[in-house]
Amino acid sequence: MLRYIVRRVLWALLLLVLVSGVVFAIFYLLPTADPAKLRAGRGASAEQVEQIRTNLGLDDPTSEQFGRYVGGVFTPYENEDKGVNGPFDLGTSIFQNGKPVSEIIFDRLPATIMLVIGSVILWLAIAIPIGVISAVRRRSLMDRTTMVTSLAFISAPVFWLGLVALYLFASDVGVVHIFPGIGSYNDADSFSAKVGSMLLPWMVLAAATAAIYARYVRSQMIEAMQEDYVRTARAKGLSERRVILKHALRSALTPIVTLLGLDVGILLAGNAILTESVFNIPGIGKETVTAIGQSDLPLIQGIVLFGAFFIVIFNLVVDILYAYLDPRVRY
Amino acid sequence: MEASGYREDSQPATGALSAGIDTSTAIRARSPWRLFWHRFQEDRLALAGLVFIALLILAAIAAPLIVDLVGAPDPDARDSAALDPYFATPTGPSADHIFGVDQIGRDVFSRTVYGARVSLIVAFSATIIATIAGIIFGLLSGYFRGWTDTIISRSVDVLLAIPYLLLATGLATACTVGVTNGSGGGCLGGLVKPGLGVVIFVISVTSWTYMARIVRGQVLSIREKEFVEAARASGASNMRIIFREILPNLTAPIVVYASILIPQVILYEAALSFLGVGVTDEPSWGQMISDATPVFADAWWYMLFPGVALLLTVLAFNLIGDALQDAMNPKTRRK
Amino acid sequence: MYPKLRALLALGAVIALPMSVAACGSDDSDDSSTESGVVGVPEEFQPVTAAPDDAQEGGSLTMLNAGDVDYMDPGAAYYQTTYTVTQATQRALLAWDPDDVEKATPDLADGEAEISDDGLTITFKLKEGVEFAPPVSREVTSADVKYAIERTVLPGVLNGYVANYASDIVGFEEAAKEAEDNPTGGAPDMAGITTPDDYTLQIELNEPEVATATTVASMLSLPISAPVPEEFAEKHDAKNPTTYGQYVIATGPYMIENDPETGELTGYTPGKEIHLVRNPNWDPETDWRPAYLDEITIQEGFTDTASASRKILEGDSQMSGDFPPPKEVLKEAAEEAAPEQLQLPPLAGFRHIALNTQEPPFDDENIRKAVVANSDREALRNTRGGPLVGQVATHYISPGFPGFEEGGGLEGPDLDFIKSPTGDPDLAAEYMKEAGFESGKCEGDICEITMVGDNIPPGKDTAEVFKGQLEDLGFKVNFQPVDHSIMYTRFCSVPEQSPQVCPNVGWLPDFRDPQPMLDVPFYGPFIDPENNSNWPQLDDPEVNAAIEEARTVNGEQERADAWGEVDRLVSSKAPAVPWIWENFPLIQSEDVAGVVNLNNASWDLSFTSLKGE
Repeated sequence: MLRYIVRRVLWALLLLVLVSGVVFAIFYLLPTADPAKLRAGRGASAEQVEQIRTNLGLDDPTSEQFGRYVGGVFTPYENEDKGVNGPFDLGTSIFQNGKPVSEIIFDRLPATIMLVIGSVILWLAIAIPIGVISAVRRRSLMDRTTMVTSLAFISAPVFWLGLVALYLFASDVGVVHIFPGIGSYNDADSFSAKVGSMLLPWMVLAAATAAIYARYVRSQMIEAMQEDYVRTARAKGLSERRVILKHALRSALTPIVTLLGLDVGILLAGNAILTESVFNIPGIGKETVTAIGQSDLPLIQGIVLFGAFFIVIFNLVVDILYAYLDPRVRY
Repeated sequence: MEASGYREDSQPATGALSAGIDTSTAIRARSPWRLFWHRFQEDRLALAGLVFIALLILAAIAAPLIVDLVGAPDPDARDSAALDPYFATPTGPSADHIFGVDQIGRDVFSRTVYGARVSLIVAFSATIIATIAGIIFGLLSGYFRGWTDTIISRSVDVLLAIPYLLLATGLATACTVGVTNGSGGGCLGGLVKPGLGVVIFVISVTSWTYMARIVRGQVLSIREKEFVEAARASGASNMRIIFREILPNLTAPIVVYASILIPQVILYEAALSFLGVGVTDEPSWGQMISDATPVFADAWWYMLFPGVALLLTVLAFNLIGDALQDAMNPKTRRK
Repeated sequence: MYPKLRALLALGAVIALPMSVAACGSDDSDDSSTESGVVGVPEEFQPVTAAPDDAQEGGSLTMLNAGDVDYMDPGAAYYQTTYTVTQATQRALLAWDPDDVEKATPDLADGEAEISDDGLTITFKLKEGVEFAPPVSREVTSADVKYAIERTVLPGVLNGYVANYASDIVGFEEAAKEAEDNPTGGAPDMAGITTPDDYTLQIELNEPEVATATTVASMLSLPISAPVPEEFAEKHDAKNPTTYGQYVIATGPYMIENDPETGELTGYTPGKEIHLVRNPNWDPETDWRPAYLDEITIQEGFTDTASASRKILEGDSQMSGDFPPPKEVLKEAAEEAAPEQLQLPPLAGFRHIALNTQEPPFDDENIRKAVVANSDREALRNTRGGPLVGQVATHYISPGFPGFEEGGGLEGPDLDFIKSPTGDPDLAAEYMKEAGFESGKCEGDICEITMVGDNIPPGKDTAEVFKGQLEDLGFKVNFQPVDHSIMYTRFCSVPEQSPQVCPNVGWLPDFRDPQPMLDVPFYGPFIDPENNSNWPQLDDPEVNAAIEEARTVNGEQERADAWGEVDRLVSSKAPAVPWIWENFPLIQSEDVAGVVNLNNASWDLSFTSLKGE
């Protein structure tokens, strides 16, 4: 087991380096535009552009640049000439006065974390009961209705769902004034006000995912209930309630846990970008949208790489957790 | 085999958000086609979805005709008279514009109809590209195993570790920067052009991985089967074994997975358009919703119609995908 | 010598210095429009320029901003929103009373500038008893104004305009050179600026090349003439860039809250908040501003201007700062809000769509004329809102500005291609034929053009509409939507990168004179490789010569005539499509009695008060 964990951790580390390589390649090698010119912006003379090129070492061999980049991200490597200050140096933004990308990300992280955690709680609270009941009452009218409804939620683009929700329920422009509307997170100065401002975004972000999870829980439950041990439990005369909750649900939830880990990772990594931009929540995703508008490649690059960290780490946690939970895994 | 190896064969390793469908069902899907069609037919909702998609394809092809028939103006025609005379804000459904007009006086109905084109073109081309790429890499890695497998599988791991929506927006931005400085922008030395090309490219690049994993898992089990051994023993070439013996047995899971991919790609394209890195020079639903965002509180019609079009299209594909999956896997059948 | 010019960074609403006037005739003979206020704006939305008689003393006010000021340092301040702050915190030689449209009011100066008969000496008398805010707390003298002007040549002060107008001051060039050679050596002495006594400031000019004495005096109504205490500022000015911006000393009725020991601004968090409190050293006896409010907080970062506007209208906040409400909220405000909640002062200047005159296809004057003739400028104007947000422009100098009537008035110059506000496709076809396109439409590779514009409305809408208009003429347009500032910094202000069409540019003159209205955006030698504001890159010998001549003309009417002629000449070359003379909608909550400063087209905080219960 320990060997397995060590191997997974090592692989995760290697994966991070590989990912940074890919990200580096995308943002340094793919675009045709000149990074020195992009950075210099307006008002820069040819000499200044040249200066930036030298400062950032853009004329150095690609491998050297990549080495510096990876060094700055992962190791305490410092290089005053080229402005590298590791570890965790993701470079500097072009448009925010050369502010370090990592600083910008940490500024934005709390809003994203709050958005994701709240919606995870919400979607589990919706999905698990619905999934279980649908599985138990399989083929009932209720089962069919919820499954088709859930498919509709899966099919709705989340940003559109957000707009519709705002149109119906926002306290400033809604048909009925219930929930704080766009941008209310920015105005909220207390924690409870922040929670209030998140209610609508949580529901919108949770809607589609809850639908997916409900369907998944249902199919897992159906499978679990056909397993021998559930039949045995039933045969032993345990109450149906106990059979379902204690035995079937437990085994059905094992894969859900892993799925959840991956989804949380990917959402924290910035995939909540659509919800954040509809509700104007100053999170990682919203920052990406700004960065896109300004073609602030170093910032986008930093955010993508940072997001990859989340995904890799959550993958790692999930793998290890899975090894514990599922005895069938061999290592 | 280690845990990740186990997982990738039994469930989507990427999380439900991106796949959302239990792919384990695909593995056992080897029922004959006739039986499959029979089962599929039973699902009325799926049939309705199929009809809807057929109509949508027709509408996309015959968009000019339909717009004419309804008497709506050209999608790019700007009718300033249709705007509010005093504030030039968009106006709602009227006799001249049955779905209302947008912020610069263009007809929402006709743009919604034309918008089907971008959605469908992107949906089918990106799905086809991603599927073919997934099949090729999955076959190579599953069939040859060893180093080929290691390299491909690890590359897939790397790609899956990158947040795909951010990666896609980043790619799209990187491929569009510098479009006016003579180079015309683009990626890979201008091979990928900004616009529709970039969108299809980034969606394909970030979507082929799941298909590759599924195909690989299937190939790994099939290649040990007797009929493959037999072919090998009779001296058949690798190519022959792959194309004659293995590929035909993969049809079912590939079809199922591709059908799952289509609605995702449509939502994906809409999301990119919404974020401002999608198709800009043709009407697209995501773009329309994006444009409607600043005015949604007043101009409900502008966000409603493209949104509903998107919802119905994706739903139709999902219903079909669902039914395909059920039909090919007797175990989770609902009826 | 023309040092690097600074382009107007019209960040959506964060527009640089406007200079505006209501549509009053510039001379007595024209009495038709006097007192009618802003042209095209109904009575109920006319800007209020005086506090109510029973204005209430005290209270605190909250204003919302989308962006931040550019520089707190009065030597560098350049944005409209910065001027809203400097108007309340600084006392320049001259300042603008809310309804000043013709001429600034003496502020620190005790009376108007005296210009010698030869036009080469400007003398200002200063008021006595004006004091700096803590921690400096001493009386202002003429030496503080001299220092304030001299320090603007320091590279670290980042002033963007002074060299364009002040370079005829005796000793300016030498001082500028000295500062460039030794940027951290403190402000260089300018021989032409002298202080005969503590309350007299004298400025000597060389024979004018770029600006006459009248123009220089006008320029001193900008915050650069607000006094700066040398003994306090020199250590900050010895840095490059200077840190005085974080230690600005006020002279006006308000000051940014600061540390009483060091003077460091504690009330300013860039991008977040500006907190103004009363300046304890301000003596109302020396000032005409009433300064009713006790405290003003400007909250920044409200980039979602629709929500911010609704907050204000509903009373959750009190005043709009640097952004106009988007048109759909404007509609709500106009239809539903109480009287005076919406006011529409005019913004001097123009928005135009620049056609790149240096490159095909728009190096051909006939093709440009065709484009102008074809453009439906009313549809363009509608992208920013209806008639309320402005007039369809027919030339460049905006209504009420000197040279407006001379440049063509509301009717426009006598040019067929600018006549129809909704476009004249037949005439456009004629011009296309003249350019060699038999069909009257553009044909061939030459018609594939690139356009770089905004990625958010309303700029994006303007671009889309214009794109459609170009396509009607046969062009194939590759439209690249980008962030507004990127549009300038990366594309439109960098001639080498400049696309054929820049649909979202606009120009606001630095101060009240037709010269800054026209010479920066159309003078050929001003085309700058990295920092260009002549977006059409017009370099026409005729226009250049006319501009050079007009600069040296003295006398108000004479200048209006000369620059009106330049305006007509520029219009006749069709380098751009001028499409709007804009109003800048301001909104406030019901409990505020806001007063508009017409010169800055923004709220004047020193005259605004809260309504009583």
